[in-house]
Amino acid sequence: MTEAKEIIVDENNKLFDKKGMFHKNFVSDFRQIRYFTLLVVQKAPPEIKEINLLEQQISEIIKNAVKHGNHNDPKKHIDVWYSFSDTHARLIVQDEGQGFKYLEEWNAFNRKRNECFQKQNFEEMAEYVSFITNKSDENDSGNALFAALEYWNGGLVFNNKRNAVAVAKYFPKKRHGLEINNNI
Amino acid sequence: MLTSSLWFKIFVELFLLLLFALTMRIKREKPVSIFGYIIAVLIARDILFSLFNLGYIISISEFIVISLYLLWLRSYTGKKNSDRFYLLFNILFLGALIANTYFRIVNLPSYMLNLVLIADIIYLAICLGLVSEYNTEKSEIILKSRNTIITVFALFSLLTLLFGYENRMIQFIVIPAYYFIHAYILSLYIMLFYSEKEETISFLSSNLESMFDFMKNFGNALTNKINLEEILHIIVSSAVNNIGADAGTILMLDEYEDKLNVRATQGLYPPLYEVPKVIKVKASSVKRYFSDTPITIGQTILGEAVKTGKPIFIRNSSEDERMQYNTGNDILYISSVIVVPLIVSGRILGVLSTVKRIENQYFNERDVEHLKTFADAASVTIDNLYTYMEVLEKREIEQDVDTAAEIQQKLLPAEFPEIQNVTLAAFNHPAKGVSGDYFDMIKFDNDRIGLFICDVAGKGVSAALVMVMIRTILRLIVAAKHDPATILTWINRGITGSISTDHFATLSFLTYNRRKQEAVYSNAAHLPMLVFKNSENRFIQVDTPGLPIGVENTTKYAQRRFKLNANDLVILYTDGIIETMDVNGNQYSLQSLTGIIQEHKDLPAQEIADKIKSELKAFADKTKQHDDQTLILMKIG
Repeated sequence: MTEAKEIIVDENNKLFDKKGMFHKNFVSDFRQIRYFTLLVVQKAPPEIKEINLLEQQISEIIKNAVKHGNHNDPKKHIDVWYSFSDTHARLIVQDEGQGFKYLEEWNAFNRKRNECFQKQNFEEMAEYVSFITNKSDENDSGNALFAALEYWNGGLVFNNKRNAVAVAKYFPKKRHGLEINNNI
Repeated sequence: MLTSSLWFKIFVELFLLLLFALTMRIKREKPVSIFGYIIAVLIARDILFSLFNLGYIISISEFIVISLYLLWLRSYTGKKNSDRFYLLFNILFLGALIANTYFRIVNLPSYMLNLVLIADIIYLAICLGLVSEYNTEKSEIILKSRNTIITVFALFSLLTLLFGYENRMIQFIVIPAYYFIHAYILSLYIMLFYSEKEETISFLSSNLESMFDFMKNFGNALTNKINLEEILHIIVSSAVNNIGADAGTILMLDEYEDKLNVRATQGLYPPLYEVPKVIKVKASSVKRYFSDTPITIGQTILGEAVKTGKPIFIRNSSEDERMQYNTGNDILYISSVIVVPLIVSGRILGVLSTVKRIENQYFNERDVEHLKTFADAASVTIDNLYTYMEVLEKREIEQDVDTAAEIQQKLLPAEFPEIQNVTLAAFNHPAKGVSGDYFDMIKFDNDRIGLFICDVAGKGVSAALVMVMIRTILRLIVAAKHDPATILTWINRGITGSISTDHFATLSFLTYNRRKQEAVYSNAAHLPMLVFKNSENRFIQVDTPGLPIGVENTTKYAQRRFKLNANDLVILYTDGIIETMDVNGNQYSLQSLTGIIQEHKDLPAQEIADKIKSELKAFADKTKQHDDQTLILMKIG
C-alpha cells in the first residue's frame, strides 16, 4: 500500500520555484475558464498522451481560484505559471482571496475516507463521499480535490497564505525493453 | 595350454583398448571412461587367472564388471535407492564367501557364486529395462544396447554355470567372444556420434525451413496495416507448431512499468501461479485469466527469465519446485516447459514460452535450441516493428504540425496593400508546432485600409481551421463597409458553437481613413493596440472591452475612434512578442518593445520592424521559440 497522500502547506517547496515557467494573468471571469485553460495547455507537447485529462485537471485548479479564491470578482485576477515537457507538467495558480480555510479539515476528511477504504468499510465510507462546507453551492461536489490529489502525482502544495497552489505531474517515459545490466 | 588362451584374450583386450582410445577421442564423457576400468579389470583378471588358475578370480571380476555396468547406467539415470541394497547384498555375500573359503564353515556348492551373479544380472536387466526416453536424458545408447547386454551376460553366466570356468571351450572361445560385448557398446558410441552429426545438419536445415515459413507468414501480415498483436501471434503459433508444443505464449515488457503483459497465446497456456477454483472450471476462463494478469519481473519462471536474461528449460515439471501449481491433475497441468527471453542488443523486450501438456511427454535439448533460434528472429523483428511504429507515430504528429503551418502560411497576405501617406510593415515568425497567429491587411478603397490581427488558442490543424473560418467571415463581410465592432460581433457569432469542440481566439481590428485621418479600433480580448503619438513623444495603449471570440455567442463588441497624425505609429502584436524568453527565463516585456520602437521611431516602417525582429532574435538567443511572434506596424506619412 502506498502511503496516504495529503495536501501540504509549504511555501518553500520546490514546486513554487517559478524559474523558467510561463506566466499569464487572467481576470476572474468564470465564462473564460475554458479559454484560459486552453491557453495554458496549448504549451504541452504532443507527446503527452492523455491531454484531455491534463486539461481537465488544470481547468479545475483555475476554476477553483476564480470561484472559491476570488469569488468571481471581476476586479480580482489570478496568476498562472506553467511549464511542460513530455515527462512533466507543472502549474502554480495564485488568487487574491483569503486562502483555503478548510485545508486541515479536508486532510482529516481525506484520511478518514482512506481509512474506511483500506478497511473496506463501505458503510462508514458513505459518510465521506463529498467534502461540503457552508460555502459550498449545489455545483460543488466536493470531489474535485480528491481526484486532483490522485492526478498530481508530483504533489499538491499550498503557500502559507493558502491562496496559491503548486502542483506537479510526472509522466512515465515510454520504453521498449529493459537493459539487461540494469535489470539484474 | 592356459597361457596360450591368455594370449588369445590379451589380443582381444588390446583391440578393446584401441577401440576405447578411439571412442574417448571423439566422446570424452564419464560413461565412456567407465569402459577403461572395465578393460583394466579384464586384463588384470586374465593375468591373475593364468597365474593361479582359480575360478573365483573370474567370478569375482564378473561381479566387478557387472557393478561397473550398473555404474555406467547410473551415470545416465542418476543413483537410485535400490542400488544400496544391491551393494549391501553383494558385499555381504562376498564377505561370507571369503570367510567360508578360509574357515570352511559350510560346504557351499560351486555354482552358488554363479547363482548370485545371475541375480545381479537380473537386477541390472531390470534397471536397464526401466530406462525410457522420457525419464532419462541421452537414453538412446542404452535403449539400443540393453537387449544385447542382457543376452550376452545371461548366456555367459549360463555357459560358465554349465561348464565351469576351467573348461577349454570357455577359455578359448566363450570368454574372448564375450569380451566383444564391450567392443559392441564402444562401437555404438562411435556410430551414434556420426549419426548425431548428421542429425545436427538436418536439424539446422529444418530450423531454417521453419524460419522461412515464419518469414513468409510474417511478410503476408506486413502487407496489411501493421498489427503488432497479429505478428506476435504468428511468432507464437509458428514456434508452437515447429517444436511440437501444446501451447505457447509471448509476454512483452510493459512500456511504463516493470511488468510483463501477455500479448499473444496459442492453445491453452495455463498460468504458472495460483488460480481461483472458479476459474479452473472452464478453459476459456483460464485463458482469459492468464491473458489479463500481468506478471511482475522476477515472478514465475516467465518473470525469472526476464530478470536473469537466461532461458529456462524444465524438462519434467514434476521435478521442479517452480512448477508447483502445474503438476496437479487439473486444467493447469504442464509436463514440460521452455522459456526463452527476447533479447536485442542487450535489451530485454519480453519472453517467449512453450509448454507440453500431455503426461510423459517432454521437450528435449533440441527443442530448446529450436525455440532459441525462434526467439532471436522474433526479437529482431519486434524491435524493428517498435522502431517503425514510433517513427510512424512521430510522423503523424509532425504531419499535423506541418499541415497546420502550411495552412497558416497560405492565409497570410503575400503582399501588403499600398495606400497614400501610409507605410506598412509586418512579420510573422511561426513557432514549430504552434501556428496560432494570423494577420491580414485589407484595402477597402483608395482611402481606407483595415488591419487585422488574431491569436487562435490551441494548436495543430484544428487551430488552423479556426483561422480559415475567421478569415472567410472577415473577407466576406468587410466588403460591406461595416465598422470594426460589428465585424467582430459577427465573427464571434460565426465561430461560437459552430464547431462541436470549443475554439477560442483573441483578435483586434483597426480601420484607418487617410482622408479623415481617423482610426476606428475594436478588440476581442487581444493585447491592447500600441499607438506612438509623435507630437507627444509617448505611447498610448488603446483597448475596448470584450470577451475573446468563442466564449459567448451574444457578446457585443465596442469600438473607439481616434485621430492619427503624421509620423504616428500604430503597432498590433501578439503575446509571443513580449513573452519571448531569454536563456534565464526572463520575458522580453512590453517595456523593451516600446523602448526599441521609440529608439528607432524616425526610421521607415519596414526598418523599425526589422530592428524589432533582430532584437527579438538576439534576446531569445539559443532558446527554443515557444510561441508564434506576429507584429504589424503602420506609419502615417
